[in-house]
Amino acid sequence: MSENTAPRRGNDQQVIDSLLADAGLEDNSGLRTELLELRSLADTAPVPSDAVRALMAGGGAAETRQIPTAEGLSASAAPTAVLTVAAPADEMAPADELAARRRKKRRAAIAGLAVAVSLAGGATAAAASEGGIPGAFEHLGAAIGSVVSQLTPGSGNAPQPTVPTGTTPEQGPVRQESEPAVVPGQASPSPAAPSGPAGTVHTDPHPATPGNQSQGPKGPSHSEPGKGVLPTAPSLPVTPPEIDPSKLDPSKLEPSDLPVPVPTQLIPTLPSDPKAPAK
Amino acid sequence: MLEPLAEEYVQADHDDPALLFTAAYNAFSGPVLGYLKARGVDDPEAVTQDVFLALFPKLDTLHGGLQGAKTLLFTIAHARLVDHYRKRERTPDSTPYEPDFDARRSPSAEEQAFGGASGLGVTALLEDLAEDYREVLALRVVADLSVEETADIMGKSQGAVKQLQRRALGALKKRALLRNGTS
Repeated sequence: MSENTAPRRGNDQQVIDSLLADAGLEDNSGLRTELLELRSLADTAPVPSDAVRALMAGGGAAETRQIPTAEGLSASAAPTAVLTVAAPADEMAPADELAARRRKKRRAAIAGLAVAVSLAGGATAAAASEGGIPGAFEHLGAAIGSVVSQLTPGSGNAPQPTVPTGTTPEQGPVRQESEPAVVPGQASPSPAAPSGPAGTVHTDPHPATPGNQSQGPKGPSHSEPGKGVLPTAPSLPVTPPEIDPSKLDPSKLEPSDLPVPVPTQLIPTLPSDPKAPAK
Repeated sequence: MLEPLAEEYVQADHDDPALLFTAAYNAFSGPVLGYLKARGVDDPEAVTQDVFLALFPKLDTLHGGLQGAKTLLFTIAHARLVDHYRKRERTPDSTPYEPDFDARRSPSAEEQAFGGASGLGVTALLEDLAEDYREVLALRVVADLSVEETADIMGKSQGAVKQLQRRALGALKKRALLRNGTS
């Protein structure tokens, strides 16, 4: 980038002398020369870039103006040629990168602070809740499990239409088809004859419950939807329902007519006195 | 000390930011460039343009005219300088070897003569000084700022700035004596 040489400031030597006088180094000519060289760094003015030139005052086209500074007028009559180009300032208005960078840093700090405050609030609420932080974790796990079960179709707790108490929702065809095939030990049950003889009470795949006794042979009902797809075989009772073992009196029992097993083989007995001669 | 106002700004409407911007550039672009050179910025010309581009949006709310623009300009330049040093600390130095820029070689008599005359070797004066010494000398000598303005930019009191300036000149004198004694 080419540079223009600005007019040298006339009071350079006075400024340096005053600086040296403040430090008590008035008579140091070597230091005075070095400071004057250092000050000469400011004598070179850079040529404005296109963006800077567009912001400068001037006409519609590029022009070179003679801009005499007040100092230049007082010290020397040589004016400084500065190229100025006028352009609409709105077109190339530069964004302040420094301010934008600082705004970005401030925004990140505010976001981090908000996250920290929300985390602290959550931890405080968990600590203050019933059961402390482990209880809060349990509640959280239960809530997540319920949400997952609600959202996942086909799981055990699939959403079902709400029905009033005492009524049985209609069963799907899949459930009715799979009903008779999985009952073990049942001799080819037919859906047309759900109620059989008395011997088939225990093989009924759906024991009668108080809630659905009045429903008739409409179909199986399940208190928990989704868990009754495969009916389980009922367990056989050990004693007949007519005899209660706790009410039996042992004194009134008579010998059974059933034959008692008698040993068919003769077992030899040992003699009582081993010294006696055998008969 | 107050810089005499540029003529085009005195004669024009003070509310025109473009005129104030032009006057500020004509008056202070050289000192800003010299300040950045003295502090060792890698690309002082480009940073100077950035400083003036950052000045323009703030001219609407600026008070104090050209003198206020000068203080604001060097405040922006100081902030850019701090950013430059922070960036330099974070990034490793990956500059390839250039024999022309090798500081270990001895300059020729021609280089010494022309370099000293054009001010190219002046920045070496401040190289071994402490950071605060370099800053106060650059602001007071090169940028031609007053003690009050220097104190505002450096974030120190005026007494501290005067003390720093005195110590910096003493250190510079020691270095000059040492260099003259060895050479």
